[in-house]
Amino acid sequence: MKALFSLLLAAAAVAFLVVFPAIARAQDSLPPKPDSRIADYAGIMQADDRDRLSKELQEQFNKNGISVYIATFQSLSVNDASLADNLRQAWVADPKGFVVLYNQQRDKLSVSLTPEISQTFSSSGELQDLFSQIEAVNKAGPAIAVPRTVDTIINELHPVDDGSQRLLAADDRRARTTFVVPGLILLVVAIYGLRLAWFRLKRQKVFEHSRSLPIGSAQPKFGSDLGGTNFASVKFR
Amino acid sequence: MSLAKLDAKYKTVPRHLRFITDHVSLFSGEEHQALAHQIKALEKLYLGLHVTLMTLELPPNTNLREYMFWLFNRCRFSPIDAKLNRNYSVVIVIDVTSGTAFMSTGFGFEQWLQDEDLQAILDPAIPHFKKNQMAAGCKTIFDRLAARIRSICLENDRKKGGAPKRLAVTDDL
Repeated sequence: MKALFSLLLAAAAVAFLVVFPAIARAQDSLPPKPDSRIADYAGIMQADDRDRLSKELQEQFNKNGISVYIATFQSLSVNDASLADNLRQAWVADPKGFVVLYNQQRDKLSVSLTPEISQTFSSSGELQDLFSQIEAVNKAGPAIAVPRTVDTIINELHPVDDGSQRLLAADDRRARTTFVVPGLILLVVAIYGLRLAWFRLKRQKVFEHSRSLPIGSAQPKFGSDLGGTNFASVKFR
Repeated sequence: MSLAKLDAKYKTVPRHLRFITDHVSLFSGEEHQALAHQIKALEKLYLGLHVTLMTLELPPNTNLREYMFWLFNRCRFSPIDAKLNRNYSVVIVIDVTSGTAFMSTGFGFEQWLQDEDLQAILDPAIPHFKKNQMAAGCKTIFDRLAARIRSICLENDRKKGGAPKRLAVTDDL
């Protein structure tokens, strides 16, 4: 009995010594951050497709600030979701970003989102719908499913970006309004001021040259106090 | 004849406007505009002056002096407070029926513009009227009227003993 207990204890110690370093190694030995944003260790993509997708991801980052990385593995000894989270924490330094991980052995896609994007989806209740769509594209095969997953997530994020664009456009309009409206008001005031000045100058010119007529004496005649008594006529026909 | 009897004789006063009333269409649009501009310029020079030009087709054998007296007092071409020696209205009428142009003034001008003065103003227009250049004739009348009023003002300044004020002509405006 004692010998059996000792044997089990030794086996447990050996197992601990063997498994723990493996787990620790798995945690520490994450693949390096790919410059092209795609680490295709499973080799599911053609070189042309990989270059094109890499370029698109870089453009997406430049345009919307969404940092996307893709990693594919033939097989994994650790949990896909936790590895995706680890990769995302290691690779994605920006607040907006996500990692798409593909495990060829299990034929499974895993996605890890940054808290900001995750919050955006969960607040609008779209996260579940998003993963449903990803499940649907999975059936198309990994070469198509991975880019489509990326597209799906980015398309879902577009309304947020459109909102940002709308806010930027509104800021532009506000800035324009800030300068244009007072400018127009000033212009109108200036035009009216010039017109008033021109009118006053004209009136001044008129009064400079004008004068009152001499006042004589007059009495009413024939029941009239206006005039019409002096008269001259010429006949031309 | 009193104004009341003239009212019964001539009945309704003709429609009249402030500067020019062309009942018989003697003037073109441009001529009308030019004459109105000349009248306005003249009135700007002499405060209180009101000049009106009217063309009419009167019944034959109308007594023009009598008609002018009635027209002048009933149409009231001047403001309501311009009475007696402050009435500086000048009314010129062209009657196409008799082929006559005639004019009269308010009591403000009675001392300065006698019948012979008015005749001197009208006479230079006869050649134009005979050539059927009605607008040119009216322009001549306005020019002569402006010159006469100018001389009246200068003469009045001299009588008062002060230096005569420089007076512009209508072309300055």
